[in-house]
Amino acid sequence: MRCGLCVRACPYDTLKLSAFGDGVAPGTPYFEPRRVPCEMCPDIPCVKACPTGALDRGLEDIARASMGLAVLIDHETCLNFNGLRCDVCYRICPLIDKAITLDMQRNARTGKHAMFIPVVHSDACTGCGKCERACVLETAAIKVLPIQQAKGELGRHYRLGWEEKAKAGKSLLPQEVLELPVRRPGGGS
Amino acid sequence: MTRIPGREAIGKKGWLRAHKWLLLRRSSQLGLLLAFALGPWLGIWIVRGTLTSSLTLDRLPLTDPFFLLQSLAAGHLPYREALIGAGIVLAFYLLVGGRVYCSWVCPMNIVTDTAAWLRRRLNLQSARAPSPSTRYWLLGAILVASLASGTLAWEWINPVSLLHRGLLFGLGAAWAIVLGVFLYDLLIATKGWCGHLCPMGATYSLLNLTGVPKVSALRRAACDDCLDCYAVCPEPQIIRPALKGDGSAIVSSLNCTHCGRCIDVCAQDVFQMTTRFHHRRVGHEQGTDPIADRLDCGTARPVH
Repeated sequence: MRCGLCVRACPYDTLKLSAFGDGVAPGTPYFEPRRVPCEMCPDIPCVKACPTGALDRGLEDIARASMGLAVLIDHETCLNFNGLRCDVCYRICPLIDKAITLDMQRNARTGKHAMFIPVVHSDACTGCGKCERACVLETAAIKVLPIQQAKGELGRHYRLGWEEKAKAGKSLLPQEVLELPVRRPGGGS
Repeated sequence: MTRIPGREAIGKKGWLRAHKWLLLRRSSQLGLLLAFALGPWLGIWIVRGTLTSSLTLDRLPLTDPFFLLQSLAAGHLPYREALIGAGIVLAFYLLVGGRVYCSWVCPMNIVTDTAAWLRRRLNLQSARAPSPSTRYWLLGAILVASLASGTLAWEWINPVSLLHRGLLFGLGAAWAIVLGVFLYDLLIATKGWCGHLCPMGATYSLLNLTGVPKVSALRRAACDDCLDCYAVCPEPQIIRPALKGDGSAIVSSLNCTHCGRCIDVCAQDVFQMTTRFHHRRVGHEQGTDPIADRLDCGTARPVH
């Protein structure tokens, strides 16, 4: 109803109502994670305050909220991508090791170091924005985006072989596998 | 020399009595706004939310029926609080008269009243107002648009909620809409917004069917045809049947906002605030359509 009761219920002044001319329907609640992120209150007062169901009371565990999706959008400035151990987004994440993990990769630039790449997992990330708030850069390299903007979608006919194999409990390839020639660059075989 | 409506009444009754209902209305409008604003401005939480949907003293839920209507049309049934809140508001306005909202609660009323006042002072004559029934067509169109889009369609541009919410949560560019309505009323159509277009007012007109308080032209014999009441009335078409007809003296139109300004400006004290049961001498005449008649939708009864 655009009544703002969720805004009034928020103890951290995270939520605001959009004004006329902001590009979305006037009166829509939103927050700017870089300014004040969602603190993920366990009692979810904003949802309780909503009289209409625009915020769904079916949500009982705030860890299952989906307000958006964090995306490490700029690999050029992210300190971890540059081989440093910043890790701040990973450490601050309320769902550490679930919503953000560190993926160890070889640092090709030095040839002898590792890079710890923060990876966001969409099934766990709530979009609370604490990572965007905490990013130490002048402008955050990791940002919360609306889910439909952040997520790709696989064609519905796609099957992932390793998942199908796990589901079936065995390899689904025919026993007699076609032998194909292995071609390598340079013409060798 | 242009006649200034109410000037004669001030001379005869004194300034205070000639502004009694206006002052009461402004106190009601500003008092309600203050009740909403004390929270965000001073941290004194009496009412949370907006006129759309609110919670008073953490107990009493209130919801605007016009918003509920849009929500239902959009295919969304709200939670019980919103339904109870709308029920309370509905019951209240069915008792006091729907359009009491327009003149005693709505913050836009101050804007359009100011435009109408300035228009009279500047003696602007252009009159390209659409038919007063436009608002009902608009209301229907909004419900269809809500149904088609699954959203509260009118809330993109509703000046009433944009202004009220803007004062409490930040105005953004909503001032442009409010200014637009002001200029429309000032320069293009006299009493154009509230009296012809506002679909929210149209909803409250429909709730005006059962309200108990009614303005009556009880002393219509004393009328000296000064036309001051017509000049200040936000819905001037509604006065004539009560004032000049030979039927009931009650202003029975569903569009009466019960603002009482006609009572203020009449030097002859023709009008009074009465109940709908007062002096009901003659009912509706045969062969007229009482509802369409009272909605000012065109099938007006003959006026004598």
